[in-house]
Amino acid sequence: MCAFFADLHTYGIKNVALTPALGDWGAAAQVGCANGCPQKIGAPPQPTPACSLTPVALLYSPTLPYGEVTCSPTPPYTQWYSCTGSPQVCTCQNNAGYPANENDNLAYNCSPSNPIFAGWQNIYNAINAVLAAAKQNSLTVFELDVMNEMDTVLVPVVARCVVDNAQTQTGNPDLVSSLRYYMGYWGFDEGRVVWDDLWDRSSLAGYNCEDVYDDYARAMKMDSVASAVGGGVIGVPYLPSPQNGLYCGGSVGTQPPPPQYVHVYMFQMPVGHAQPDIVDVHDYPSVQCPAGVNCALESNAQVSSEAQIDFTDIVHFMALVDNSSALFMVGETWSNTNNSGTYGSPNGTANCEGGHWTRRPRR
Amino acid sequence: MEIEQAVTGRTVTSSRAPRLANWARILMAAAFSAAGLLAGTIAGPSQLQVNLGPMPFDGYLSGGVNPYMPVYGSNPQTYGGACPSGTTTVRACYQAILRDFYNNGVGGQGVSGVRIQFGVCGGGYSTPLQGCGSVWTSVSGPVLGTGGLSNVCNGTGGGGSKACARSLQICTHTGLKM
Repeated sequence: MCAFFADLHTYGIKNVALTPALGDWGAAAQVGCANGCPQKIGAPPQPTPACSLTPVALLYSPTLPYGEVTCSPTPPYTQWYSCTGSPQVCTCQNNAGYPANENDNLAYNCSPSNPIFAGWQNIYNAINAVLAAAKQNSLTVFELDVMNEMDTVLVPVVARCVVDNAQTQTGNPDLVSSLRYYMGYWGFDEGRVVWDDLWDRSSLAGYNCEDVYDDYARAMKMDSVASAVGGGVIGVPYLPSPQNGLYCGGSVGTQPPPPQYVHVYMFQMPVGHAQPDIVDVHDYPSVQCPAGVNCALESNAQVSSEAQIDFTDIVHFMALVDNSSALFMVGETWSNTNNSGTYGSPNGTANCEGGHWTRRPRR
Repeated sequence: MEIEQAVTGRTVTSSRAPRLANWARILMAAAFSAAGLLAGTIAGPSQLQVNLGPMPFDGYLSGGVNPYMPVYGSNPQTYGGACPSGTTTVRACYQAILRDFYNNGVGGQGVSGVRIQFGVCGGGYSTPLQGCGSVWTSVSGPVLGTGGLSNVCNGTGGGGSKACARSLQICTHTGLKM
């Protein structure tokens, strides 16, 4: 690792953004585990009260503080596996691989813990070693991006990657405070501990609306993650009015007496922190593509129009979270064209211009 | 290949409110208005950073590209598929890429930083922790001489022992006061 960082320094690269892969491929079977990745399928330990729809078995990865929906052909774990026809064709339900208890606002509390979780302190140790190596080679850790594109709206259990409540014996479960500590220890900006997220797109050109956070709904996922960090509410709003692919409207709701209904109220995170001083957005300015439709036909003007809305909304988001002076990182744009990548039009050369930013002069 | 652009968000707001510990609840009471829109625009200077994707620390110093680089080769969005012809080591591939960033830049704009992802328990050929898959008390690391992070501490490839000692000190530090 140190050799890589030394190479960065040698070739004039001064900044490095780090993402510890807590998500699937960090310990997944598909790539990179020389001796087989240490996943496990098993009956979940059940918290009290347990979520109402927890599967009989979950897939566990050591670096995720929750289980995932598994697809096993081995009884008794076949809940998401089915075979039909002759010859038989066996398939998994399309939520296989998703975090458990999706679409349950209470999942942060009621979803099972992970019996083979590697432990927060062990994970911090690994991250800390990487930070040390960066410092050792005179690099700046531009970001410590904890988790990619978390959906704390539909999958609130992933907020355990902000502040965990289920593996508290394995180390400090407050990732925000802990990782800020390690960043600061090595002299890096503590405010650069961040959770990037997607910017939502409308299926109708130019459409926008207000979400439950009093922000533009294109920012809904970013709003929810910021709320998770800030100690606000996460999950699906009560009685939203989805329009054109955006989560418009809705309210926080009020906590009812049992029996609880998963969307009657949004879930209140237990701990609040100041926001990061960087905003990391994955944005593909374009109209949301319906399934099966080739959206690569959008013109530069169309992409530019959507980009202008998106970037204006980003300014609104930054002001709303009192982060107007933050650094703004837009991720997953594409070389030379600054277009909207595979999720939108390749004709998006007007993307950045729509965002009102000044580009660094070409050499 | 993916690129990222970072710019400083600047606004013309005259005063900066204290940071809110719980901004969401405050937002609930806030009026939805165009105030934010009028607050300012995103402004430069910008800089360009490149996402290199998963970094196979386990094999960075290996003598052969395989099996580490095919992880990337299947994904045209990342750089592994573009290792220079004849590249025989993972490190040589990345050095060539970094040299290109430095000498020519991407699109002639220059690259000031890179983004990498790294596995913690073995995914993507990065294995800083050993014993994953067991209960957390049986997991250990990073450990000298094993796994992809060993070079932090053994001085290989530009490393040294000073930061290592500091790293290990903090590794054994428990009961952090936050």
